[in-house]
Amino acid sequence: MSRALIIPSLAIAALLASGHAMAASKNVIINANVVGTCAFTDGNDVTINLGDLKAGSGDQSKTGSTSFWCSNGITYNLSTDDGLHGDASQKKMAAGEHQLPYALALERSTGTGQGIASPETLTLTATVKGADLDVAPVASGYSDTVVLTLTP
Amino acid sequence: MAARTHRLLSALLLGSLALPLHAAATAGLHMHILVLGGCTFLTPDHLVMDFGALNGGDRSISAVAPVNCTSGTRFTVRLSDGLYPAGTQRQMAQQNGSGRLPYTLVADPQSGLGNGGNIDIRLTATVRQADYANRPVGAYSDTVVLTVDP
Repeated sequence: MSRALIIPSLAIAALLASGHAMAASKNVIINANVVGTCAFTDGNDVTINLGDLKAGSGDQSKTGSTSFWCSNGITYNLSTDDGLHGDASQKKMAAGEHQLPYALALERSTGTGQGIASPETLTLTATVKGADLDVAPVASGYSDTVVLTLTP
Repeated sequence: MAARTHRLLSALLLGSLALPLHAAATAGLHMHILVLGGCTFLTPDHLVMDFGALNGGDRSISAVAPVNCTSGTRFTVRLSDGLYPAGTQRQMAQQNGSGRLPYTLVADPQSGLGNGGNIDIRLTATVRQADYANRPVGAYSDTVVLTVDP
């Protein structure tokens, strides 16, 4: 009999003693993965105009530039395809049936990203060799389109 | 803590029910029963909110923690600042580095009146692209304590 009364008495004491501890708590775990990514800062094409080229004037070069950012700390790679008229060994501009070999050099082809707040500028240099100019058929509108790819 | 509170309440109620059966043999004994309101989470497990791969745009994710508060109990919801706050700004920590990733976490509702049934506490976590795009690549995590009083 007396035991039956002691038990609720202890329960009351424990409840009163616990005070503010009478709250329900739960851990909430928040996870995320920052993954490596790159993006050009605008969607504009880069145009490199070599202007009027003449035989006997030696090698001719012009530059263009673009900018991009990559996630902080990741390694990025830059590459170009062969263009519309070339192959792995030689890019070519074309004007109708005429073709003019050229080279397109990237300022760099790899690097380490600095984050979106630190975009990088990339300079591209197109060069036509004097020897190729000397034998090129005269035509206007030699042109090529190359795809520049930034990964990841 | 929630489970212990529940057991204590059960003991209290059992005691009060048992009392009238023995009342005839204990003349002169007075018993005061204190009925306390409280809240318990319906699921004991921790709650995981995973943004997954952050690869573009501001991102928000939500999760629900159902809670049961005794009828008529006014409850309030609290969220701790997490393990790595900068002032009051919650941050996840890079697991294999020293990077920190700010985010926000809000609960809805933040208070209410218990009805004896289930009430969903919805948590929404948000991280902005401007914050994660500059952070070192890797896995980030934080742990926040969600508390419902009383």
